[in-house]
Amino acid sequence: MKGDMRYSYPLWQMGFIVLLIALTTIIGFTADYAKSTDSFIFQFTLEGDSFWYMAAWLAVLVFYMILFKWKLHQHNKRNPDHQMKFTSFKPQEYMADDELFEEVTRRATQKAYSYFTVALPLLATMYLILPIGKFGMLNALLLLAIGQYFVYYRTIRRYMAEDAV
Amino acid sequence: MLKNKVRELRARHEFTQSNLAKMVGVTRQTIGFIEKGEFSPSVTLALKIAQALQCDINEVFWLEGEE
Repeated sequence: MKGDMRYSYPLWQMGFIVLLIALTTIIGFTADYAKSTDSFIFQFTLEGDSFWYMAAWLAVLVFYMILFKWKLHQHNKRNPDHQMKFTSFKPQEYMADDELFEEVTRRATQKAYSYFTVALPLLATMYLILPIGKFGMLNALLLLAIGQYFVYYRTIRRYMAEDAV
Repeated sequence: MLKNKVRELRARHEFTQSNLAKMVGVTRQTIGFIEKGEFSPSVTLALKIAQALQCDINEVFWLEGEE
């Protein structure tokens, strides 16, 4: 599985979500809402520290994107039979090389599904009970998505990392 | 539980996991997990493996204990 990015793809996705959490946090701290009966205004101002946080975030995003695209290019070069596309709607981590891989993908997606059947109602209950702000809610959803990739990755890792001889 | 002696028969034929995998059209990992008893192959794959190892399928795979 060396050089096969389908295996590490959930980790890359988790990285992207962490970056999204950072973005919503930066914007969340600087945003202002103005709500009246007939209008809604949302604005955020990047001044002082928040400007530098946003600049640093953009720099990290660009670096991460370059690294990601480079890894993707390497994967496609090494695995011409399993080309990956960043723009595809189909989750790129799915593997269907043979019946073991299909079974592993099935088990991992099944676990991710089970995770959501528990996690979503729990989160909804938390939203109902706790005074969580808009950006807190957004970040909690993003954390949930990280959990999904973690569940998926943990399942496939057992099968794919092992070098059975 | 599905038991097998793929590893033993493969060694007898001096096949590597990769050789056998190529012969039956699967990945090396699949052969490894079948040998360890952690993955039960489909009937088609079990037949292909038995054929590649020049054995009857019952010599290679059998049920043991309760399913």
